Parts: sequence; structure tokens; C-alpha cells
Amino acid sequence: MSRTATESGARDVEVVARLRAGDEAAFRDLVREYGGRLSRLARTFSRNDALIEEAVQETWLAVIRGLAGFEGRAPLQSWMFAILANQTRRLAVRERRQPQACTDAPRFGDPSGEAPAGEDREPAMGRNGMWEMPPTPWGLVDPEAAMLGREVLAVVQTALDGLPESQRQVVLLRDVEGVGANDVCNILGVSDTNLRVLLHRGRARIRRALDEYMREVGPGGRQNRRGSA
Amino acid sequence: MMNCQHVANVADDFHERRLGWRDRLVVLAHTAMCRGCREFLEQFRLSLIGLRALPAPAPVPAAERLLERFRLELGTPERMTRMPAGGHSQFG
Repeated sequence: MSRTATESGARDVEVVARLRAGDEAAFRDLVREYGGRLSRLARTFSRNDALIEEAVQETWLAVIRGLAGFEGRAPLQSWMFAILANQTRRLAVRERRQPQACTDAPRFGDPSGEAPAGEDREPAMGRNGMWEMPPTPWGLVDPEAAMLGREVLAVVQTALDGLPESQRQVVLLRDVEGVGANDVCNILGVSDTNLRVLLHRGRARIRRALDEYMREVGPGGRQNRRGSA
Repeated sequence: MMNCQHVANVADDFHERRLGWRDRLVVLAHTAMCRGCREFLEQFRLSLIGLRALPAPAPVPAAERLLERFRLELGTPERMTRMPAGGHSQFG
């Protein structure tokens, strides 16, 4: 996730070459690295454990079969996530259970796809577009380090799990997995406009969850807060 | 003139450096005077750091059935060289 696009591309080329050559160790590594991540993404489409497991298995089979045709136009992980999304949707349809993927996606009456005015208003924002309750500082001594604490990450994870499904999908793919915006649109079948709206709403909810936590508990006790010697 | 709601709405673009330089300057000018928006953008930035730092799920070992399928579909170099001519066909 912290790799640059160039590094990821070079790694993809090497991994795909090894896989095509029948390198079983490379395939084991791929499954170890992505098995849980594919399940995590599938879980944003369905809560049916059997369906999730089947979707992941079908994805691996499709990856094996499709390796010869993989052209590297998208990163390997985007390609696998796209297969997974398609498999999960297909299985959900088969079970007459449409995935809840886009039920809370913005429904724009305007064909231009612009969000209606006020749709993304922050709860603490007044009607005149100014803060009624401005965000108060979290008072962290080392903010970046504080965000990496276990307790804070648990808050982020819980907030992510609690997002509506379409927001969870875009935030998971874009921010957690580091998938490019265009690839996220292709994987989920959403427009760039919808992606941006869903991302903003999801991220705003994560910020609010963190804000609530920082106000009530604080990260890892008081030692990381200013003015608390 | 950009108000606080506009600043909040472009927080994503601001942090992902997708704002044009004019809009970026307008945001910076606004936040220079508005403590609430300055704090909001900072908290938004920290939230992104938290999301990007979420740990990956535990590694999953490959099931033997899946490995067998991999061997059947892609074989191994050693296996391929041992196969008689035309032996590929059985692997589809």
C-alpha cells in the first residue's frame, strides 16, 4: 500500500511471470497475501459466509485461468478485486440476493450527476455555510504517531465496519487497499462523481468517529495530549 | 468566496492534491483565517492516515485443493518437460 505505482508495476510483472511459469511458491505467496483481503472485500457485498467463501474460491480459479490473458493494464490487485466483485455479484444474483452495493449511492435527479445542494453538509455546519460547532483540536503531541496506535486504529476499523456498504467499499478500496480512483470506479461500476461523493461521506464519518473518541477517551491515555504532564 | 462548507467539501481533493492552484490558494487563505476549517482539514488528514494504516487481514494459507488446481492449469517447469508431446491438452 505504501509502494509507489512503479514499484507495484515492477513487482506485478515479476509475480505474473513466476505464476505463468507454474511457480507454486509464488502462488502460495499470492494466496497468503490476498486471501484475507479478498474475503474482506467480499464481506462488503454480502454477509453470507458461504457465499463469501465461494466467491473467493471462484476468484482464485478465475485468476489461475486468466493469468495467461492478464495484460497488466491495471495493477494485479485491481484485477483480482474486479474479479472478486464480479464473482460476488454473480453469486448474489444466483441466490436471488442482489448485493447491497449501491443502495445508498447518491441518486441524482440531475443527469449531470451533481450532488444536490446541501447533500454533503457537515452536521456541525450551519445553514449559512459557516461552522455552528467548529471542530475542536484533538490536542495530540504527535498526531501522526497517535493515529498508528492500536486503540485509535480499532476506532477507525469499527467506524469503517459501520459505514453503509457502498461507502465502505469505496473507502476500503481507495484508502485501505490503495487502489487508484479509476480502478475503484471500474471495480464497483460507479461513476467518478459517485465515487467522490461516497468517499467524502465515508471519510467524513470516519473523522466524526475519531472526533468522538478523541473527545471522550483520548488516544492511549493522556500521555500523548498536550498540556497533560 | 469560499465558505466553511465548501472547504469541508473539497477536503478530499485538497489532501489528494487534485485542486487547481487557484482553488488551493483560496482554501489556504480561508484556513489562515478560520480555525474551524483548519482543524477540520487536519482531522480529515489524520483520518486518512488512520485508514491507510489499518492492518491487513491475517495471512491465509492456500488450500491443497486450490494448489492442485494451480498445478493442473499451469504445471511446473519440471513437470512440463517430463510430459510427452501433446501432453498439455489434458490441462485445457
